Amino acid sequence: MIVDIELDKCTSCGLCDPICPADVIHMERNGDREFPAIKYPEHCVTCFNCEIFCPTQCIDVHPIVRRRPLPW
Amino acid sequence: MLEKIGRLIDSDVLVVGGGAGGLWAALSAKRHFPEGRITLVDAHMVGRTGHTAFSNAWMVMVSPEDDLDACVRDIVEGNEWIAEQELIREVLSLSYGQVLDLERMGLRFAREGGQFVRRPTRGLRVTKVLKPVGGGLEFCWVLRKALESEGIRIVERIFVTDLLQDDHGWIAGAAGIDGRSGEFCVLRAKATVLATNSVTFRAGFVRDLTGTGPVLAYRAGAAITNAEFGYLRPATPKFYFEGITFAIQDGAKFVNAAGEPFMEKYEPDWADQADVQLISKAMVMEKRAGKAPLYLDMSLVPEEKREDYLHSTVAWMDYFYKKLGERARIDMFGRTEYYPFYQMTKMAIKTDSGCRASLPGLFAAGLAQASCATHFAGFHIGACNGTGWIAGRSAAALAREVQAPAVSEAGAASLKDKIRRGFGEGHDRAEDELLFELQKLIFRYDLSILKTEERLSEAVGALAGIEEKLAATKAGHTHGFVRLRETEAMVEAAKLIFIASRARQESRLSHIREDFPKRDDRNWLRWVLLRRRGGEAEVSTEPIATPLVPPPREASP
Repeated sequence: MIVDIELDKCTSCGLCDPICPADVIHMERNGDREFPAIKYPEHCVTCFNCEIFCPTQCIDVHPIVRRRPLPW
Repeated sequence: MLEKIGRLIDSDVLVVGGGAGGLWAALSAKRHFPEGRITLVDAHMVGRTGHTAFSNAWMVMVSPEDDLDACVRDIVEGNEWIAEQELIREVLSLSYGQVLDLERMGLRFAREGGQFVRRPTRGLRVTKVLKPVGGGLEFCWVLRKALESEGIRIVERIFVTDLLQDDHGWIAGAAGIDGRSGEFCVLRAKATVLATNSVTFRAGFVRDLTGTGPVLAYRAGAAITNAEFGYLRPATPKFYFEGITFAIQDGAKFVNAAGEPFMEKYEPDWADQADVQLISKAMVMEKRAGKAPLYLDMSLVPEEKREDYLHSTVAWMDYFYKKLGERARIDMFGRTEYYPFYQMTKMAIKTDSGCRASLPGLFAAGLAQASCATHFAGFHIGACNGTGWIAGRSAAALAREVQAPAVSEAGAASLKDKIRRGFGEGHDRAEDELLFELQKLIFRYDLSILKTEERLSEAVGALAGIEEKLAATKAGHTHGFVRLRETEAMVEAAKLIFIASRARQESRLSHIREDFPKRDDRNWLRWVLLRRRGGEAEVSTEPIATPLVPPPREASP
């Protein structure tokens, strides 16, 4: 699950928003710039897309996925 | 004026879904109808999200020197005859040209001495598969660029809520909303290709597959099939590991609570190398014998081979393996508890060999199209490529001949109003709770792996309760609205899975009935079809045509 975006390293390129397949990250205006906000962390699908494609490697995704119910 | 109701996008051919099936469908439609207006819509970002993008993109390829008929027989027999034979033959015969086409677009495949490097795949004897350099991400990106350069319009972040139908039941495109702003959109088209993937119930390999496409087709009145079949595999809920087959070849074994290997007892010929659905079944039997918990013992993989498992050509898996030990302190080479897991349904839209659905104006491609009932690694993306091409070609042929369909303003306004009524005061996480209730049911081993008529009927009843709560739940924002509608589609999919499973009174492939434990070729070389009639699922069956590979001898009366 996505855990952190280091905003001081972020260039506001905006790629992490559309590249998320679960609509977790939304670009939001703060002053004269837009920054990514983790809006729905519980819906992260742990695909690492945001971390992989971030040009400044400022996003951290933890590898453990949300548990699913067990079959027994 | 439809423009006054919402954003209007007019096309000759509309393709819904931007994975392998949809990308090829759009390309094929354009090449068969160069002056046509072709639009591809996707819920997210084409080329960077979705099942294909997150995969290795292993794909089947039959080259000119291969025996095409032997490959068709291979696929049909591997599917125990639940297969569209003529469609599969054309998919295979197209595959070589499609790989060459991908190379021309700039995608690279490994070659040795000029020949493509291919490998056999689990469950098939002669058919071989290959993968592109850069896996699914590169495959999808190269195709996306090809679409753009050939003048195909790509519209992203559109969540399709309904199919549009004219007064005669003709599919006239789709309606949906912008996944961020919530703006209502009318996507009017002469021909519509659904290429929206399968359902994983938000678990498993790709957790955003919610199967809205086949469910939309079903709601509009199209026949769907193969809902009783699925993709079963051993899995651990803590993390994802796609290399079980290779690990087993390198010595890993499934063991029970006492540390005893158990696969040989159930599958004497194959033991741990049996197909994943047979391992899943064996795990259930071992659990019933009181020998759970069950583990995959990866400590048996020799030290010198372990490094291979910490790398993947799939970018997300590579990150995942890298971080697993460091961040989660999980030792992949220990003993990890595993469970049998229902990863994905094979439920899809029934079509003819031209990928035409049972409703005029509607076509299906990719995993939304029911070419066969089982899940061979590498075959399914090959099938997506081929059905995409065929569906795009059929859709283009129709769009060339017909006038733009009549979409009534009243009809569009009523769909918009239905969406509006889905918003309101609601508590923010209601859909998550209902999803969890659904998952608790669909992943139960005695419903998804070992089935009986009685349990399936009870499960249909249990779903009614979830449906009722969903109907009463409102979304406070667009994100929640999309999640709610996806959950609703998954509940409907689950119901169709249980109903189809109840109808097929035999055991075949992943469909295992305790009350009908044997395969019955005499009575069940048939499709189980589901159609919506009067708000309920009407079940019928239809013989499977066997024009190319004759049925097994037992099928004769």
